[in-house]
Amino acid sequence: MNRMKNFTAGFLRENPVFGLYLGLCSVLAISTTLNNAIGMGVAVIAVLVMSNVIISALRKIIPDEIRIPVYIVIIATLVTIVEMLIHAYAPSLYSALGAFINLIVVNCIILGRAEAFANKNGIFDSALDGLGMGLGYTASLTCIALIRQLLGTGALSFSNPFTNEIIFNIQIIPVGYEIPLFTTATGAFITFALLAAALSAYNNKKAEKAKKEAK
Amino acid sequence: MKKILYLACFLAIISAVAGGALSYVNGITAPIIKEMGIAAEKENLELMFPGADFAEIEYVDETGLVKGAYEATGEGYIYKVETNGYSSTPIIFMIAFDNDGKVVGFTPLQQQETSGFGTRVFEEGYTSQVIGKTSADGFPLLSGATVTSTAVVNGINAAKTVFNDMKGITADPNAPVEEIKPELALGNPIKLSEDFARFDAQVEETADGVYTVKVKGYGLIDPEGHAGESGTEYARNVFEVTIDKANNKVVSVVNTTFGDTKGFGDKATGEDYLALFTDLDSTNLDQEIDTVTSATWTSKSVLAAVQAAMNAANQ
Repeated sequence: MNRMKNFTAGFLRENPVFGLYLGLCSVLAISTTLNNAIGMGVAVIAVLVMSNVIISALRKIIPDEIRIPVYIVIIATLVTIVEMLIHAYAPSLYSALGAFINLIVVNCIILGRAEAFANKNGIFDSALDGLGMGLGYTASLTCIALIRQLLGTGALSFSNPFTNEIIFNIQIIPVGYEIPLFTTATGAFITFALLAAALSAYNNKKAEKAKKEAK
Repeated sequence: MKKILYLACFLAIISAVAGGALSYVNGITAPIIKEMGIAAEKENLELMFPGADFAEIEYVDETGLVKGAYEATGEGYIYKVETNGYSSTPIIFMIAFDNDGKVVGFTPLQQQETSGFGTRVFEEGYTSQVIGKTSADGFPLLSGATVTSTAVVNGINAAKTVFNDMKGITADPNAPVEEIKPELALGNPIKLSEDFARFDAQVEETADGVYTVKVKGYGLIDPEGHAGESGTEYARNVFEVTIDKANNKVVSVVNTTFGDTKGFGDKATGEDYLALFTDLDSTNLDQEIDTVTSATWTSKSVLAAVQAAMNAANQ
């Protein structure tokens, strides 16, 4: 039960993007299309799970004084490996994400989870936590991208990053009625603010309900 | 002290393991990435060095004209250059140097220059002047296609600089830049006996056998009626025709004053065309002489002058 709670924490209660406001730079820059959002999300999940597992496995032998530099070496190595793999096997994703792949290293989510969870818990729990947080991050990114792509270009599309074949491309809002503002940084901030406010309202309501039931 | 040593060692070990993992993954992915880099250009690169092993290389180019640099292992280097010529569509070409610095390939990939003028830059007459030169030489311009050839030469020079910097060769900044004259386009032969009255040739024997002939050209005759529109002042063309009266041969025709259309008529008053008259039989007015395409009237002006000189010599 505890495990389930930990796993779902990353989605609503401790949503890293809308609740904890971590890693926003990449979020705002990447979320223009579904492809980019999901691509980035998967990269973050991969790095998060692997770094949590490795750090959790080594937690007993990493000396306390240098734990942050060690975490950084591990995370940077993982990110570089992921970047090389993306460059070789999904080049279109690589050119779309560009420098933001490397910025995963300084994505506070990763270091934050390593420090808050992985160095105190077992390997399986840490992996689950990484997966939960990563999925929460990806889900948040996808929400923003859905809104931005839909309103900004009028179409929703997704193509296979490995082969570039288009899986679907639906024009929902007719051409000429879309709002290009949403593909810019301004639109990113607006979308993010609205979604963060919505999550906050939801969490507040839940807290109120819990308080009422406690009385 | 022991603690710090332990910490440093631990960090070093972790870094070493990380480095090992990275180099392993790099070994797998690097060839794939390299292959992607040249995949786009492979076809074009094969034109220069067929069958060679290509790799995309880094380069430093201040002009911004060099768009790609490739090395054909063991054979040479290829540069992809993009420059703006006469038309709004950019000219994209590849130039290849072998390891000694000699130009071994020069091919256009895209160009929309004016047919017959700018397009000559990629024809035999010009390319034969480029292939074979080394990266230390200067490259010629094409007269009649100045804008296009200047753009292409700038592009070649940019590629040349990248190549020389990489190889450490210093090019001679004062290398002479010649201008290649276009080959004459001849056609439409006309008899020397034709009626050239319109040209009003005025002949004067200024020395024995040397006839100075002042004759009207395209500008003054103005057959279509709008020669004056460009605002150019036209004058008579003056030719010095030397005839060897003893042997009845035309020795030479020299243009001393040119008053006709620049860029068109001057093709007919250049040395290449006037050389056609050397050694002609000065008594035979029935012979046909070619005229220069797109400079017919000025060619006839020359013919009129020669006719007048021959007539004067044969009296």
